Amino acid sequence: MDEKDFEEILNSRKFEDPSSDLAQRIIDASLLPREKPRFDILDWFEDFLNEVNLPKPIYAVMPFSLVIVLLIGLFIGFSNPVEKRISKQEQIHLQDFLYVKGELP
Amino acid sequence: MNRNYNVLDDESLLRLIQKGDHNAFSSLLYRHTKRFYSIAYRILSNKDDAEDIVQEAFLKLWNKPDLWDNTKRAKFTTWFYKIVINLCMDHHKKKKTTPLFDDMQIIDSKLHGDALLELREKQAMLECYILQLPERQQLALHLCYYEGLSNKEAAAIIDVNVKALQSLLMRAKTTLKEKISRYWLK
Repeated sequence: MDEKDFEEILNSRKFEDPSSDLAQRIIDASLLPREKPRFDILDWFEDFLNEVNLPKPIYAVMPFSLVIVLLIGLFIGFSNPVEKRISKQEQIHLQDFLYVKGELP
Repeated sequence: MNRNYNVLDDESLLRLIQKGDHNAFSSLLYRHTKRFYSIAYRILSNKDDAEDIVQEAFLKLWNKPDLWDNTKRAKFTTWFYKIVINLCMDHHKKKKTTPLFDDMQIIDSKLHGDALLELREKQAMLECYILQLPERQQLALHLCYYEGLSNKEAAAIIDVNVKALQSLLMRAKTTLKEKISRYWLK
């Protein structure tokens, strides 16, 4: 196949003209009062991402970073239990409070 | 005050749109509707869908004119091509349809019989092969070959450098030529 035939085939590609009133239709639609959009978490997140406009590699790294932060949090949480130790003095006071002399059989 | 909107360039019209000037919006719309419909049609191969996408894109511009960042000194058409193309791609992914070749309109309605049949076959085959190309090769072909944009502008729209664009275009044409030739030899 020569270049001329190839070009001819490329130029034979189907094309339909737009409706003659397309521009007017868009203008009419733009004059309609805007509906207050319902809150949608996905739309909000999309708008948020558009607003922040992070470079694309960040989206690949972000899930890993979140998992690592979560693991670090868990590690710190389990390695330092927030268990309050009761001192001996406090233990005696507690026993005095619970078992008043003479009440126990 | 009566302005002559036709003498204003796109970027000036956009600044007026950002101030809520609806006449500026109408002027911009009449100036570019066909251009953006054309690229939407090339991507979607469907008139109604292409018109819907153009409407959606322009309404987005009217409702959120601040999306166009004046400080970046971006050319309106380059920026808006990106918006229309992104909307088309989203639409494509949602719909995942292929054009019905049986419903194709014929360019030259004077054709009859064998010539008509041959043209239909060529159009269907071409459409099918173009759809089989990778997305960026398709875009390069649409923008440079069918829309007649300069390589520089098409490259800016696809977000590649000019050399990469030329390569995309060349690969698209080579693949198409090979497939069409093979089909013709059958």
